[in-house]
Amino acid sequence: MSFERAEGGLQLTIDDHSRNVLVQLLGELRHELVRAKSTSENELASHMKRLFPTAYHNDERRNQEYRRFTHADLADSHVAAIDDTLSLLTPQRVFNQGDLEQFVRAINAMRLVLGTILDVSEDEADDVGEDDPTAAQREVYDYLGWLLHTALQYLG
Amino acid sequence: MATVTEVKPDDIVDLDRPWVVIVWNDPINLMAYVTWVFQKLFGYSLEKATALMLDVHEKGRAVVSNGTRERAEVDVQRLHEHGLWATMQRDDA
Repeated sequence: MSFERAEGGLQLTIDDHSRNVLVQLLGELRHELVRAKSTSENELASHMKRLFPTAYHNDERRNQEYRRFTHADLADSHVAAIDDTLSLLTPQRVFNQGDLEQFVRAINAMRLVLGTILDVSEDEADDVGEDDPTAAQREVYDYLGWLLHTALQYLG
Repeated sequence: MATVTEVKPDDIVDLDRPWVVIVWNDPINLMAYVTWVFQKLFGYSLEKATALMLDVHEKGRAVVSNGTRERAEVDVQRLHEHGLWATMQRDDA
């Protein structure tokens, strides 16, 4: 995958396999976000809670109020970034600055969820063995990190 | 008919004390991403955004903005939209 300068912005070159993986993962996350929009905090899947943090320290009354006013908007915001990114993954599409920001947000949200599922920590070794049951997911997680890092270089 | 709004002690004390928005360290967000978010949302220079990001990474947290409760809630929501772990509290400095 690479970005190249093009008239009107940047053009993404990505192989079909990587594109298909991203489209599938983004679709799955979109589905979970739509479901999360009408789900209470206590009923959220644990890996989805990372996208809906609390706002107040030790103040459940205010956290409930905050959630009541922001939860649906937050879900919609993540879904919008995913929808924009799905449309950007079509061949020959040129990204402007706003497109790239949405792309980065969507990829980061996906990486947050996957990293939460994998229980990523700063202390653990980067590499796991091929026989590790999470090896494939970790490969995707690393790929998302590389993708994000690459895209960020164009948002300076 | 007038409504009676319950006022809790925490709502009426220290009205002049601003709220601060804190971003907490997490093992997933990339340092370059956190720096970019600080620049985008708050208009900070690369130097200031990088310094705040390093505080988050090395000290575990950093205060990234302050102001009224309403302003802090807006900032927290925008940070949450970008996947950062942000909370707000009254400034205890």
